[in-house]
Amino acid sequence: MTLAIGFATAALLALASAGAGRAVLAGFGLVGRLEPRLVDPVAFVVGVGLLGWLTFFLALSGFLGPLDLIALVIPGLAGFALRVPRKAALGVRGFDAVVVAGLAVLATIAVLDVVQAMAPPADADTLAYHFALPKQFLAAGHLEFVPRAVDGAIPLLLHMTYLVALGIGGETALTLWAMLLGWAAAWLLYELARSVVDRRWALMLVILFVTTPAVVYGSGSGQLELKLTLFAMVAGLAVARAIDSGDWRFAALAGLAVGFFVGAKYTGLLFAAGCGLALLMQRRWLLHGAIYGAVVLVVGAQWYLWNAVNAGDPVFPLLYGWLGAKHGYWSAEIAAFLHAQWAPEENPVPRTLYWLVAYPFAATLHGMENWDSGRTGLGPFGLLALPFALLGLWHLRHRVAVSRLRSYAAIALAYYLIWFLSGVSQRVRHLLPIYPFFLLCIAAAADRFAQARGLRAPLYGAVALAIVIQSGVVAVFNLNYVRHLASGETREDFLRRNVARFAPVPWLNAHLTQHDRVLITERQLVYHLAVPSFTASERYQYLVDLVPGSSNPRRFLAEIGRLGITYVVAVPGLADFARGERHFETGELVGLTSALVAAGCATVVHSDTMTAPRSRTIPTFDSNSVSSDVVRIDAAHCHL
Amino acid sequence: MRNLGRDGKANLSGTLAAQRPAIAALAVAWLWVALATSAYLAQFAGYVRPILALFG
Repeated sequence: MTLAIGFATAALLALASAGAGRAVLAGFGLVGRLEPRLVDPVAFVVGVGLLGWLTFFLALSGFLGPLDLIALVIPGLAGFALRVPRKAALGVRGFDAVVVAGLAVLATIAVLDVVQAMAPPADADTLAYHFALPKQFLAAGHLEFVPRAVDGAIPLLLHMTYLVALGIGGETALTLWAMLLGWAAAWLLYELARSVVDRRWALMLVILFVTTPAVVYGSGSGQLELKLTLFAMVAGLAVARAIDSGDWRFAALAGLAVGFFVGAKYTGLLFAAGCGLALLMQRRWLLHGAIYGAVVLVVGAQWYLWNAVNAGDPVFPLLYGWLGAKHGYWSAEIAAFLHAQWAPEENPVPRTLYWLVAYPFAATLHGMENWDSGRTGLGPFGLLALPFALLGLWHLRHRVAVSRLRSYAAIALAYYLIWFLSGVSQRVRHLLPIYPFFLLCIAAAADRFAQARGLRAPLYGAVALAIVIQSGVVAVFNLNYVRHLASGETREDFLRRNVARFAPVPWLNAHLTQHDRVLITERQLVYHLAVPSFTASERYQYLVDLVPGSSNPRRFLAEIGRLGITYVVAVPGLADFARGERHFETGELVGLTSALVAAGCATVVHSDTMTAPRSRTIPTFDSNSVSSDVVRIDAAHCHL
Repeated sequence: MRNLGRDGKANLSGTLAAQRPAIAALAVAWLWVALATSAYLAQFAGYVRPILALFG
């Protein structure tokens, strides 16, 4: 029954998004100005953005019951009453052996993705906030401001669509919806590719895309970057059409898609700049630029206003130096500490011209831990096809200025330059939004050159090799989920195997009530906790001051008292801590908790050994273990 | 492209000579594909045993 509700909800959201998007495109008068094959995928993307945008207001107003959410979604179905041009039917001649083989590969991957969606979510970021925040808002019945840097006070437009899926259909609906968004990206990529390459190539590009390790890593989880390709592709298409046709309505569509991107992740601001630059370098720059800017502002501003109203900083806490922070949410001390810690971790290489050029090669050939570019990188195809594409570019240099791909190339290049030089995280998956443009440009240029010089065999060989390697990644990645489904493993056993340091969660769920609140530092535990929690951190939040050097147990007790915290999970356990054992970023918390226990303000009520696999996919890699104590706060008998 | 000898018949060595640049280009292209694939896969050498163990 749960499964059926999950599938029905995901289908409802998909249809309602497509219908609502159709209505928006019709409203702009763009239905007849797009090729028929592009209308539905573009409409779907616009509908997804609209769903997330509207849900913000519903959440803000406290209408988050299942019926409220269904009432929000249902009107979207009316969009199917609008007439759209019919696509040309695919004749039997379109299905040669390569196409059939490609479709078989895609069908297999789709089945594996469904299997993955049947398992409980296990990705750390997903459990920490992508799925945890929607769950928190649903439990509260309204939107809550989370004054935490990086994963709390952030744009949440796509998370709002997760909220709708979870609120209507439960967890299976949520995981299926996340999966469906990834496949929508593949669909849109195929339709965009058909404008520049033949059916076989378009299909091969889609297979290369869905088997790319960074895509495989993010497809079944709440990770956003793959989903953001939806907005990026529609924006790129609209910018290209605005420039080619001079039609202001495409500039408005670009603004809409970019606004959704801006509302979904901070990196959308970088993408907005890239698209803006592309629109400004053309004849109708003033009109298109003004329309684009106005729409981006109206559509993308909601989460920045939400942050500004609640914390006094639209990109909390990035502008702390200029704007400060309301309610003591931040301080100069933690701002300096975060900056000192974050920059070297997220920017392992300097922002120099050398690394600007070398980054893609280094990320492809020598994965760095902090780039996530090895097991979860962009795969080998870009490298294999590069010489073909560069020679193709030279070969066609006289036609580059009028190429249909020039806008995609300009946006991708601008985004890459701004991204690398701005100092945001250098993790390779942040390039996923422009990855479809990269694939389209490199495939088109390489194919033209290979055709002209009789080098099709090595180029197709490169495609085949990349697909074989990447399909191996898909197989290995999904083995974990297939075994889970086939073996009948329990949910708890699966989570113990796959979620780092999961051990105390079952005990907490069994012994705490809705009146309790547990403070944890292991943020990946949040989603699977059935009781209220607070994610503490020495660098991302200041509600509980844990910046190294803070050592006042009285202040600590007062801070956790204000937050209603009744339990603390200490990692490592207090005895091991006293013996000198330390864990990542928990020194101050465990030290302060030990002081509370010593003063009779708290008691250890449960102990566990937490285990963290180094890889969910390859469990034979070494795991690591650490002790933990669950400590109950009892301020009544306190002698501080 | 066919090179004709004095007798008007096809000249095999001439044909090969004319095609040499194309054959060289093919060889270089395949060499690149092989080298780049190897270089990419080399970073995952340590993964072979753990992955095989998954299936064992």
